Amino acid sequence: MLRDDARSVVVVGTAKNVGKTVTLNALRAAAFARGVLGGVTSIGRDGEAIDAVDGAPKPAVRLEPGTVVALPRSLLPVSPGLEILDVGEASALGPIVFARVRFAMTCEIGGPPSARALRATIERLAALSGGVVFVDGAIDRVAPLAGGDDTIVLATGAAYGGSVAEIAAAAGQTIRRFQLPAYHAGEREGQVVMVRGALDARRAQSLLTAERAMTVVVADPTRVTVRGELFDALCAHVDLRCERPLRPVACTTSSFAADGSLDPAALTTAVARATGLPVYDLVARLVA
Amino acid sequence: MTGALLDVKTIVARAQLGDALDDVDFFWIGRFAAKHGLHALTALLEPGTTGTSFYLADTFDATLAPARQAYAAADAAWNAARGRLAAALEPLLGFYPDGDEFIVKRGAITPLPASVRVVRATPAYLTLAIQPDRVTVECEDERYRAFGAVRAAEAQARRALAEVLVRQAGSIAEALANGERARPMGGEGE
Repeated sequence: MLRDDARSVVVVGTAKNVGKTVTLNALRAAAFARGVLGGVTSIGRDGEAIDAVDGAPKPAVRLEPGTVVALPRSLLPVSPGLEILDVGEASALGPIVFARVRFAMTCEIGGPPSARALRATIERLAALSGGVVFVDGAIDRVAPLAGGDDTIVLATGAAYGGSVAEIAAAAGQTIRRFQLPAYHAGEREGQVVMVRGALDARRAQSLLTAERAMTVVVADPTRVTVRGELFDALCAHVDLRCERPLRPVACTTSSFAADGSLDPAALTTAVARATGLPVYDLVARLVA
Repeated sequence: MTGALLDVKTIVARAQLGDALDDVDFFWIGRFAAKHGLHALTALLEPGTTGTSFYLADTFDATLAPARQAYAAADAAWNAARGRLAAALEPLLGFYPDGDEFIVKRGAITPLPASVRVVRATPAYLTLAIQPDRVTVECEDERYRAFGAVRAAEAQARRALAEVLVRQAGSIAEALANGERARPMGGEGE
């Protein structure tokens, strides 16, 4: 994940409480052990002690000295003081402040409110930190990462709901969507349909009625909004590609949920089989 | 980057009202002072300025350095205490428990040592966390006390800076007025 050309590692979750922050902390601890400090930000709000939506306890984001963070001003810890480096985009919680951590701390992190602002924030963090940028991301806001040097880690788990097989199937489909191959103009023979905007259920149904084999091209994988059997049918019927691909590299699983737990080994193995990616349960210390 | 999001006039007005200013305020004031050649303000903030960044440096208040050193020592002691507990568990667990929580198969360790507590239990697995001992709790208490001292020292240093800023309000207002006259329509705010 910490490839030389990776500008950022973005952790996205299939649902709330699937271990996104645990994954982010583990990645950063591994990087720290290799002497990589880098930058940290989030899209939206994260790292709070208690979930702002459901009231469940949440792990805090750990920040080591030297780390550069981008977070809304109202979430900036007052003490111990940080070195203020720059001020960026507006957000609902105040302007995004770029700051270097001087003393180890844990805190709530937030980030820019929009996909466009996230791209700019990653660029600025990379420049200020001189290292990889770690992002507590959101699965519906990865569009600005398309076509870039960013890697994506998908966190999933029991909190998504359903059985091991259902969780694995959903993760597999998300990764397949993220992994849509790149389209290069002129390389495909036959009919090529360029889809502008979202490839939604209506468009998908229409494409499924086509009798001839065709290549369907979307701008990036996030433009594909169809899910489930319709997505599978579409992939089987047409050669679905994108202009700006994403780069998912691994998954993590969390076997616990407030309303029940799953077998960690079974979940890790099933998600690895469904996604074809390395899968880690960071709490149970499993790899598949 | 986004000038209009922070406003020097409002920062000064808040200082005049006795509001606590934070380091983002001083960062912004420093940029403004450098841009407008307000040498007294630039000199005031200079100990915390590296390039265009601002940090509430130890030299701003005599209590800062000892408070921060004590906090760093307390933090290191607390980490060391937690590390000792984790290292003691490693032979039993077969791995070093560096995270907040970790999982073991039910029945793999019996009886469970006093240095762990069960966070969650399922039929097949136990989620455990390290149970702090007396030494670790004392270290945590000391770390919390030291943090309070840092917070107090930093607040005192910021208050002192804000008081000087208030005394410089006239030169800031003048620079702002000059800036208003010189700024083209749609120019970046301050």
